[in-house]
Amino acid sequence: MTGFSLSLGLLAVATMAVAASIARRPDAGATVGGKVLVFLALFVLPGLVLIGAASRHYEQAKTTQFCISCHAIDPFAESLLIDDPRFLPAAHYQNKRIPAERACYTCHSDYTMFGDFDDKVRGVRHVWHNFFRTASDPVELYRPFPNAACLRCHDGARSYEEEAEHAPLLADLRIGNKSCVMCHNLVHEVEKLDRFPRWRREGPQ
Amino acid sequence: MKSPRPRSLQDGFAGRLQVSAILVVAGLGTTLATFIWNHPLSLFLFLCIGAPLTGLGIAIYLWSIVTQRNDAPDQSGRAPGRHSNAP
Repeated sequence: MTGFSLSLGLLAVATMAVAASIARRPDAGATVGGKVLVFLALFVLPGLVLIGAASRHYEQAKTTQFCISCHAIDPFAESLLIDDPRFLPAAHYQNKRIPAERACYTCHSDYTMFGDFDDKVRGVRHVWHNFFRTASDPVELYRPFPNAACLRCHDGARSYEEEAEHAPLLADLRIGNKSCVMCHNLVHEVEKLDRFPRWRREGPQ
Repeated sequence: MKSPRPRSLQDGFAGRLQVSAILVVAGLGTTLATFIWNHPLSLFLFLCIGAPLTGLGIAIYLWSIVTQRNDAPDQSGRAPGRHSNAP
């Protein structure tokens, strides 16, 4: 638990304690001091806690732990451990090209609550499907994977632009006429997971 | 002759304050519970229960202080909401 969460939790507990005492003795607000206390306990502090909690949940929703807490995503989390450098997500995850604690969000950043309105509605449906175990198996993207997710890091990088195979395709890749995953087509491959060995980190975790 | 009750003890205002405080406690309790669970359902609990309950509590409190003056019987004993100058 981070310091922010701890502070927020303590603030929430303190606010609840004061609000509970107001609920038991609403006449405490008769004096000027009491009015100020009621104003703090029923407006200012709950408002602050709500803003803090919304921010915390928003940031928490970007974590790998949050994404893989859904049953349907288990195989995708497992695919990050495939011991083969040709597999795109596994190679990125194992070599720390993406932050491990935000492995999913780094590439799928226009997804569910982080996307447009339709994505947000789909996010609600995903929770429903996960809860009632009615998700498709395996889950699939609603639209082709956008190059923008790759180009956010690779665009402008020497190793990307000077690569002989990339050079003639740079413009098409930028406007989306060609897809990165046309060539880099070993992605999660969750249906074939049992065919590949897993990478087990050595030393302290 | 009875003296008028203190404003804070007027039934309507005190009742609304109580409801507001209970909603805030319930909303913040739910919100607090969502902090210990990193799962999409926890986000849902916050969005669908914790935040609305707390928000409703705040709204009822604000509504009660805004409408408090209108509900209060004035010193002459006139009924709430009547502000006629007629004798």
